[in-house]
Amino acid sequence: MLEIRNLSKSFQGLQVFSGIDLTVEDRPGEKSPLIGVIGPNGAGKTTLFNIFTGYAKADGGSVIFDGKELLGKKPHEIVRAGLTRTFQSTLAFRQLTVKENVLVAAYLHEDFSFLERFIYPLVSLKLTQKKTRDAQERAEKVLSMVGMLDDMDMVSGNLPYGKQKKLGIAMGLATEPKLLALDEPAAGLNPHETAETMELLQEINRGGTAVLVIEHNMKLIMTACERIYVLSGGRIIAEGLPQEIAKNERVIEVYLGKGMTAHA
Amino acid sequence: MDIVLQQAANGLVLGMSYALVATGLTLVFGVLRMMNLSHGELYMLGAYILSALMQYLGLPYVVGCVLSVLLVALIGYFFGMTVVQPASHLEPINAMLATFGVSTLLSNLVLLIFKATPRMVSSPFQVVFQIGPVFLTIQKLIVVGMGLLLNLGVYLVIHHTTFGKMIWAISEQRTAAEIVGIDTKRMHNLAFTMGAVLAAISGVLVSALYSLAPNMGSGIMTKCFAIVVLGGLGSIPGAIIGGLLLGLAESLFTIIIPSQWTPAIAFVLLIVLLILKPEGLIGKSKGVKL
Repeated sequence: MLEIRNLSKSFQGLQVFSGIDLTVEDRPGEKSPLIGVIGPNGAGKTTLFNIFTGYAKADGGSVIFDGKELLGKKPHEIVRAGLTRTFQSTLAFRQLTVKENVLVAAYLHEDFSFLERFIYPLVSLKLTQKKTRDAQERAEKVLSMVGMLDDMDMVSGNLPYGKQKKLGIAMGLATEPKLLALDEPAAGLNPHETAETMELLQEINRGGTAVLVIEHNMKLIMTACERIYVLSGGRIIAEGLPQEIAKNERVIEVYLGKGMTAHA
Repeated sequence: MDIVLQQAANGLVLGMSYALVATGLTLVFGVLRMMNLSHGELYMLGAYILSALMQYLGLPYVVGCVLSVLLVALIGYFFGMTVVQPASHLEPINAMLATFGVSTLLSNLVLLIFKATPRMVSSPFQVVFQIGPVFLTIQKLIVVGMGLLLNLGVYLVIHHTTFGKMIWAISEQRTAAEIVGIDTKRMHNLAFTMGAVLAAISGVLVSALYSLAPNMGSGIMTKCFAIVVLGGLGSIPGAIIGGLLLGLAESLFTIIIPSQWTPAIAFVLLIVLLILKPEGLIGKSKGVKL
């Protein structure tokens, strides 16, 4: 589904990473992958996300999604191709209600024509009404999935932080992505909210959406992800199952310092 | 009393033409969050292209108006795509300075081609009629009618359609708009072109009322700047109310003060409002609304 090959990036001569290879497999008829990316602060995880979602340019390499090159594409084109992301900070429309926020995203996939967008709902056509109903149904389904049906009429700017993070995930889901890339979905959350987020990621994944997640919370990554990439010093230093990563000496060295042992 | 009514009617016509230009300006500001300093020149261009089409191609007024607006829309789209859009990725001030460059280019181009001699456009709608003590022409009525219709249309599109919601989404949170798949560049260009179309329509309509000069763009631009601040930056209803207020004030004050002082009225109103209600008549204390 997503194949990142030999990706490199530098900022003003400073190498962020190089030779990055990362794969999210397409497994039709089987459980979708849930992949984690970990690494110390400054390892380039968010830069990696920024590149394959169209927010930054790569120096070299390729990013193939569903057989098509993503490098050079604009963010909205990548979303339309089926790869949606969230950001560390919540980016909802603060003046809109929770439901309206999700609806904005859900409308996208109803493929309104330019004319429809320009006249609806001032002039309401039957086809447009159906598309709108479908978008509303999907918005409610997504809100139910993330457990925010009771909050749907709240103005998003007034939501507590934890729910704002959930709303970001809901907006991403409403675009019906094939692959959802989440940038630190548990950052700043309390243990209860983190546990909820972990369950949510697993539920999204069970629903057939592939998930690629950057996270610092090791419990979440080790419990939820089936495979983990470790990014450090501008390279992928390890890749494997959670139990393999937990025992990997290079990973332990990066996270705990030389000579320490992990008890995963 | 008759003169007050007559001047009020003239003020309404003038105000509606201001409102059209100001609505375009505030629309672009709402989306791009920068002042389009070439907006006045797009208004001027609408009038000059119409004048040229009528003089050199012998086109009738109405056909000339439609063609002129279409040409300005193309010019607006071109500058939006090639100048404003690339510059807006840096800082709003860069994009604003880029529009100043477009403004200078267009006004000097018109000066070079048509020289500084004032031009006139003759409309077939100059028939005078009387409502009570007030004398009006059909042309003035068209300005008011078109102004009302277009301003209402823009308001409805922006506030009550999916397109308007997409425009609003970009002005509210550009990255979030991209995340949900909105083509922000295309929407920027469309908003810029819509602004250009409104300016051009106002230009072709008033070209039959006032003489044309290459600097007419900068003249209306300073007034529109006052209007959008008066109405509240980024507010379409504010631009309409501000435009009408200024038109009425300029027209009515000519009864008691010499007409050469009327351009100062916009700035007196602006100063008073900035002291008493800096967020504008309709604007909120902060943020941008459409």
